[in-house]
Amino acid sequence: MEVQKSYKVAKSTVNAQLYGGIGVAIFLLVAILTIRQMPAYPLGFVLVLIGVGIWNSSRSAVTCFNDYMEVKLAPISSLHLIRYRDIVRLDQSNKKYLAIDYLADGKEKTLKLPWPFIEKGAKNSLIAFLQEQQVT
Amino acid sequence: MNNAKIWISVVIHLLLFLTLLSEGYPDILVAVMILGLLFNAAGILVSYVASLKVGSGLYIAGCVVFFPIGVIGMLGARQTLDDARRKVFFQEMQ
Repeated sequence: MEVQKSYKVAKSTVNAQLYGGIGVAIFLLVAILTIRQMPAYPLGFVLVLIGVGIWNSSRSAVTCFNDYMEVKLAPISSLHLIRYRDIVRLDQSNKKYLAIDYLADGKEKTLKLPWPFIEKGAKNSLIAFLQEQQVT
Repeated sequence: MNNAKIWISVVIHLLLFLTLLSEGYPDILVAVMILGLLFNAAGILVSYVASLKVGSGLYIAGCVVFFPIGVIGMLGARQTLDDARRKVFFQEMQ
């Protein structure tokens, strides 16, 4: 399967996760080393955040192939596989996300693609691509 | 659920539980961990015997108790579900 288009996670999101996580980790490390009986486990939560940031920096949130698209928004969120011919409608009424109504297992489902989460410039390009696929 | 992450996480959860047990932590914490381990075991069992989706859900619920290290197991279970979904999707496409 040939990749037609792919859209990465927005840099602002990745930076917030990475640098925010590193900042809090340093703060916690100093606190653990200076305050008596300071538990170390909150550091684990921050390490997960940094891990998610690293994972997000190298992957595509939306990948469009010849006949279908793959959407995976977070490490533990479900994978959405959508055939272009199963797309019922694209709802652009909300500025914050694109709602894709599609058929899966005979039922209509809705996938909300949050624009702030996806790289800049993806909005127009992805909508144009999906509309083109719907027509053809 | 034939994923290395799942088995690695089960070993980590067991080690964590045994460490807490030997260190004399409060009983409530130990009880919660036992519950998490039971959910993990039930998840693995159900995924093999009945439904992969339900089994993965149970396994993930058990991993929540062990957060943040439980993330490894959550990732493994999710990966298994995604692989199964991908397999069904491609079969339908052909």
